[in-house]
Amino acid sequence: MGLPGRRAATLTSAALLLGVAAALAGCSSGAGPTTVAPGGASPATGSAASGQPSTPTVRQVNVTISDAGCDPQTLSIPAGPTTFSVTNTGSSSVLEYEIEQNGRIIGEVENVIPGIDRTFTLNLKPGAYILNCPGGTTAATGTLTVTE
Amino acid sequence: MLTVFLILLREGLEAALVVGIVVGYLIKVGRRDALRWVWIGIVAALATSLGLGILVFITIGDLPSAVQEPIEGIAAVFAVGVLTWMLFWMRRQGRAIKGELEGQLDAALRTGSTAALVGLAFVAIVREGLETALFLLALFRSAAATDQLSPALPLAGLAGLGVAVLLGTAIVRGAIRLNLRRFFSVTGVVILFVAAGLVASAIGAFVDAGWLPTGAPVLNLSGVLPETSPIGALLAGMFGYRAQPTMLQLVGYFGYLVPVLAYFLAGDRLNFGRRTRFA
Repeated sequence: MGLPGRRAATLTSAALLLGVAAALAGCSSGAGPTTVAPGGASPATGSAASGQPSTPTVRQVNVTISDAGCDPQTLSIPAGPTTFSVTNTGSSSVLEYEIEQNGRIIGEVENVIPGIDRTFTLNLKPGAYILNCPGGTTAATGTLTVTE
Repeated sequence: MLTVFLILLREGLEAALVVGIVVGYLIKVGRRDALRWVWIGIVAALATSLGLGILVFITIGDLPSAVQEPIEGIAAVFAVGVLTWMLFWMRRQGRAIKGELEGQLDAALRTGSTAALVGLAFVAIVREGLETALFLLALFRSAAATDQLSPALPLAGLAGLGVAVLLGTAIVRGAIRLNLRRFFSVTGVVILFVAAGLVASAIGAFVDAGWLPTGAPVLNLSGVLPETSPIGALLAGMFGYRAQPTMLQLVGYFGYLVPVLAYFLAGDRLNFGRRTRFA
């Protein structure tokens, strides 16, 4: 089941202003992430052959969720196949970690409880992404910057 | 531990409620013979969930949400379809029976497509079943592998599922004591709210899958009634409650609920006028 709480409370007022039209149009409020030159489709891999699926090195990024939300709240990593390992440091209210781009969720894990890490893997291209940790108090949203 | 209990209570409750509705319905309309197929559907659904869960668990460990969420969303859409069909079927029937004995139900109703009902029970279980199986497997592995995790955790999870089943059973027991007309009215309204919740769940799943755009929440009830609280979890499991609904989810929920409720109640009022003769 999706338990999709969405965005931070700070965005709520903006959302109310944007109202139905924006929601129906699918505009996620807030700065639409500007994708920085998505040119390099096949990222930082040494021996990358021509085929897309064979991407040998997967970078692992460890992140945590807590009552506050996403930790770290701002994240900057190089492009390429990346596994996010999400650890809950003790929250019973924040159990979900999502990465969003251009108003769409591109990867997420739910029901992350303390003691049981969950992972998801994405092939990240350079650009700006949004982190969501629904239910977080001060860091329910964050930013992810993927560099070349 | 409470968190684990509540997660599995929530995951199990929706399935228990939907299966309970199907079972109660078949009993009430005198189709106990069809219950056998429902039990087969339930066992098949549990076996599918556990079997696929174990397969995924030992091969790739976890199911990517890009796979899981579309399954959950499509299953929810199917469930909404069958539930809505049941609802209108019951409404029509509620008008027709005029309180006659339950055995005198319209033949069309009695022989009505049990396949759809069995399918509904199956889908309601598999929808969350695979995810639930994976979650439980992860709990058991952690409990076995590390000392810091108490073995109470998987037990708390199983208890959550158990309570969901008990609640579902209690609801059926209560519901089948009602006379047929009231059963149709009460069950109809319950179905309506369950289905509206499933509409919101389907939208949520398609958002999580990246098929639908995200949106900022238009309400934030996390402070008042978080989904992770006991009551929040109950409401989330049964009626698709969301502490932070998006506009899309609200529009989906009420866009389904309001017209269908209006139509259902209009039919029900016709019944009330003729009701006096029967118990």
